[in-house]
Amino acid sequence: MNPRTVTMLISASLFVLTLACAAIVFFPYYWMIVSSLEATSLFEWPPRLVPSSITMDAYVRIFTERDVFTWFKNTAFVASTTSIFCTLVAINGGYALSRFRTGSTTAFSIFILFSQLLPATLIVVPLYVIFRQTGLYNSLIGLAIADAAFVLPLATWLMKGFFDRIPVEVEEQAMVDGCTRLGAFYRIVLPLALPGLVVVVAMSFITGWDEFFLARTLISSQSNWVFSVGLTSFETQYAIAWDEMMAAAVVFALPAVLFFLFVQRYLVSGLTSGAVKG
Amino acid sequence: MKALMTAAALALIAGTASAQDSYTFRMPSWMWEEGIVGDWNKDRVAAFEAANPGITVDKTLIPNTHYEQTLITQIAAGDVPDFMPVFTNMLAPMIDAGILAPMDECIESSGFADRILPSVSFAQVDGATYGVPLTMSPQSLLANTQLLEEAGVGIPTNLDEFYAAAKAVKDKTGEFGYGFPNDTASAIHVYINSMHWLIGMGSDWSQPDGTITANDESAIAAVSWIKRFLDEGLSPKGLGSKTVRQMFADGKVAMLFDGPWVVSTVKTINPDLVPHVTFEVMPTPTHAAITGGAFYVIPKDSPHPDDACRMLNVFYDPEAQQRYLEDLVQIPGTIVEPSEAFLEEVPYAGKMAEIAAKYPGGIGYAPPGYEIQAAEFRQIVVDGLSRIYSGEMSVQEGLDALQRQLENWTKTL
Amino acid sequence: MRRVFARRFRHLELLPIWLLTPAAIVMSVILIWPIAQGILLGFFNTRILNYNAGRYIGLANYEVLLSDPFFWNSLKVTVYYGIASMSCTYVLGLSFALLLNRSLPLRGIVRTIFILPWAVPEVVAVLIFIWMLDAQYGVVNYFLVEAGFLDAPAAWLAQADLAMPALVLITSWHQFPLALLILLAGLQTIPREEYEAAMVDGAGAFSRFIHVTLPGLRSVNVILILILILNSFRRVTMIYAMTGGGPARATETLSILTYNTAFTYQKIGYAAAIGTVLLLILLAFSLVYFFTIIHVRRDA
Repeated sequence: MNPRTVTMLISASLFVLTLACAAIVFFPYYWMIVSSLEATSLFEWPPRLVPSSITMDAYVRIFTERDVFTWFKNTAFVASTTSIFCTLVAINGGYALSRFRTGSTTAFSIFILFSQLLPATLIVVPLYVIFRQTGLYNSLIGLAIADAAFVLPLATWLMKGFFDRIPVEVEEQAMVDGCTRLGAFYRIVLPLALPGLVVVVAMSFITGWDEFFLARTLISSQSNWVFSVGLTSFETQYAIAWDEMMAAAVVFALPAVLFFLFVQRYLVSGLTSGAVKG
Repeated sequence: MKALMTAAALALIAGTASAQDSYTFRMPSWMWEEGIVGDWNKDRVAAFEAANPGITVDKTLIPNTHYEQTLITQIAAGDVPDFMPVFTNMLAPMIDAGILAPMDECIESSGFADRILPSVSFAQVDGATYGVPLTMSPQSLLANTQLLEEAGVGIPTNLDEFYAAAKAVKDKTGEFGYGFPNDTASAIHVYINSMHWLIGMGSDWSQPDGTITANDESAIAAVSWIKRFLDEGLSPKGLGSKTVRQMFADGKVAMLFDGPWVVSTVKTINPDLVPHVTFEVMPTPTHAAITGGAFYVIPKDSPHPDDACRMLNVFYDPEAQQRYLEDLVQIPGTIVEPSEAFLEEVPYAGKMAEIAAKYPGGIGYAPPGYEIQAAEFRQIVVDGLSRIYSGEMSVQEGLDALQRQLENWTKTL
Repeated sequence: MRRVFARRFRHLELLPIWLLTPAAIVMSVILIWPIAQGILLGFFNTRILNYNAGRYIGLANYEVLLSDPFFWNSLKVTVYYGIASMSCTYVLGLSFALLLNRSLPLRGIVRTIFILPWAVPEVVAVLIFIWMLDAQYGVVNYFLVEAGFLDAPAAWLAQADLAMPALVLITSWHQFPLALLILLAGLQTIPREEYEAAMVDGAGAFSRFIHVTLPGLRSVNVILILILILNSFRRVTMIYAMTGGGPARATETLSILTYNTAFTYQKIGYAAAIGTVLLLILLAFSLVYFFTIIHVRRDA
C-alpha cells in the first residue's frame, strides 16, 4: 500500500470512530425523546429502540396539569438577570484584576480562589436567614443574585484572562486621544474582549437556567417556581410517570440547548482565546 | 420572635376579633396538586376562606420529595407557617425539639374530641397532644386479581400461599409476582418493606427498651424470606417504591404491600384495572399492617394559632371526613362510618377499615425506642439490607454486621 | 509593561477598589458571611429544628467526627469519586479534542453534539440516566446484555460496586464538554512547527503525543484538573438526586454526608463540622497543588 492510501484509511477510520463517539454521546438525548413519545407502556423488555407508535399525550398532560408556562417565564427571567448582573459585575472586577497590581487586587484574587472551595451545603441555612432578613427570600431577583454570586468568582477570573490578552497600549493610545481611563475601558477595551464576554454571558445564563439547589431553598411560592423545581413536582408522593418526566425534561432542556447552539461558535472562539493562559 | 409570640398571644386573647383582620394564613403542604387529594384539600381551604372573610390562605406547595428538608430549613430560619401537615415520621423529632404547640385546648374546645382516631396517642408526650391524625391508612396486601386468576391462584392468606402465588404468576404470566422497593436510594421505603416482614413475623429491628434485635432468629428468617423473591426473579430488582407502584398500575406486578392510596394511582394511570385491585389482610403470621399517614400540627411560633385551630375544624368537618373516606378511599383522621353505598361500590373498603382497626402496627415507621433518631437508624438498616440484597454479604453475615453497627451507633447517642 | 503602566497611574489606585466593590459586596453577602456562620456552627450542638438554641461545645463535634466510621467512609468515597470522575472526564475530553482537532467532514455538527451535554440541566441529566440505568427496563442493561458484557440486567443504582461507576459515567458525560473546549483551545496554541520538527526527527504519532502534545497542554491541564477536582468534591445536586449517597453509602461523598447529616438526621452543628473539614481539605489540596506546580515550573 502506498502511504497515501494508509493516510486515507487512517482518516476514514478516525472519522468512523468520531461518528460512533458522537452517537454514544447523543444517545441519552435520543432516549429521553423516544421515552417521552412512546405511546404504549415503557415497562417492556426488551426496550423498544424505535417507538412502536408515537403520541404527544405526555406533552399535552404536562402543559395542562402544571403551570409550565409560568416556570418558563420565571426561569427565563432568572437566567437573564443572573447573566446580566454577573457579567456587569465580572467585567469591572476582571478589568481591575487584569490592569492593576495593588493590595486590593491581590486580596481579591485570594478571595476568588477561596470562594471556589466553599461547599454549598455549609452555606444554605445561613443564606436562607440572610434572605429572610433582607426581603430577598422568595423573589426571583434574589435568586438571580444568589446564582450570580456562585458564578461570579469564575466569571471574574475568566474576564481577567480575556483582558490580559489585550495589550495595554490600546488604552494608552485612547487616553492620549482624550479618553478617560474608564472611557477607554468601556469604549475601546470591552468591545475587543467581546468573545470573552460571550463566554461569561453564556456560562452565567446556563447556571441561572439549570440551578436547582438554591432555587428550591430560596423560593417558596408556586407562582415563583423555576423549571428545575417544577420538574421535581411531577414525581408525586405516590408514583413516577416516566413518560411525563421525560417530556418535561425535553421541554426544560430545549431552550438551554437552543441557546447553546446559538452561542457555541462564540463559545469555542472565546474559550480558545481566553482560557488558555489560565 | 418575641414580638411574634406576643402578637400570637394577643390574637388568642382577642379571639374571634382577629378573624376580621385581613391577612394571609400560611399553610404549606405537599398535597395541593395531588389529583383528587389536592381537590379535597383545596375545597376545605375554600370553605375556610368563605367562613373567615379577610383571611386568604397561602397554599404553598412543597413537592413531597423535599417537603421535610424545605420545611425544616424554613423553621430553622424562623419562618414559621400558621398550620401544616407533616408526615408521621417527622413528628417525633419535632415534638422533641419543642417546636410544636400543644393542641389540647383546641381539641377540647372543638366538636371533634371524641372522633379523633386512637393513633393520636403517637403525638402525645407527657400528657400533651402535639398533633392530630390527618390520615392513618394501613399498608397491607394489594393484589391484582386479574393476574392471580390468570395464574390460577387465589388471594394468599399465609406465607406459603404467598410464595406459591408469586411463583405461579411469574411462571404462568411472565409478570412479577411481588414488587417491593429495594433501590436503597430512599431509605424510608426500603425500611418500611423490611418492617412488613419483620413485624409480620413477630419481630422488629429493636425492642421498646432500646435493645437492638437485628440478627435474632426471626429477623434472619424475615430477611432470608425477602431475599428469596429477588434471587428467584419473582420480584423486580433495584426499583424504587414509585416505580413499583407504577408497574402495579401497569399490570406488571401482581402483589405489593402498600397503602390504599395506590388505588388512586391506578385510577389515574390505568382506570381499567381498578375493578381488579383488592386490598387484603397481610399474609404474614401476625397480619400486622404498617401504618404511616400524616398528622396536622400547629407550630409553637405559629402567628395565628387560633385560626389554625379553626382551620383544623374545617378539615375535620364530619361531612368532609366522610368524603375523605369515600372519595379518596383512605382512612381520615377521625372515626367515620362508611355508608352502605360506598361499601357496595368499593368492595375492599370494609376490609381496609377492618385491617386498620384490627392489625395496626409500626406507626410512624420508627424503630421502638429510637423514635427521635429514627432517620439515622433507618439509614443504617437500609445500608445493611442493600449489602444483603445485592449479594455482597449473606443474610447471616449482613445482619451480624448490622447488629454491630447499630449497637455502636447507639453508644454515640 | 503592565507594571510600568500601573506605576504611571498610581494616583488612580482608588479605581481598582471601585471596580472590585460590587463583586466584593455580592460575594461577601452571599458566600463569605454565610460560610463564616457555617464554620461557627461547627462549634455548637445545634439541631436544625431549634436553630437558635444550640449550645457551644468547643471541639466536641470534631472529636466525634474522628471516630465516626461514616466520616472516614465518606472521605474515601470523596477521593475515589474525585479522582475517577476527573480522570474519566479528562480522558474523554482529551480524546474528543484530539479527534476534533483534525480536519474532518461534518466537524461542526460533531462538535455541536460533543458540546451539548453541557447545556443539559443537571436535574434532567440525572433523570435520563436513572431511567437508562433502570434495573428492569433500562436500555443500558439491554445493550450490555446483547453485547455479551453482562449475563443478566444489573441493578446499577442498587449495588454498592456498580453505583459509583454509574455516577462517574453520568458525571463525565455531563462535564466532559468543558474539558473538551478548554483542551481544544490548548491544542490550537501548540505551534505546528513543533509537530513538524518532531516528524523530521522521525517521531511516530504516539511519540509526538507524548513529547509535543502533552507538554504543550501543561498550563491548560493545571487549571482544568483543579476545576474538575474541586467541582467533584463540592457536587451535591447530581449525586443526591441520583443515589442519595447509597447504596450502603457507596456514593456518600463528604458533601452528601454534610447534606444528609444536616437535613435528614437534622444535626446541623455536626454537619457544619463535616463541611468545615471538607473546606479545610480543599484548601490544603489547593495550596499543595499550587506550590507543587510552582516548584515544578521553577525546576523546568
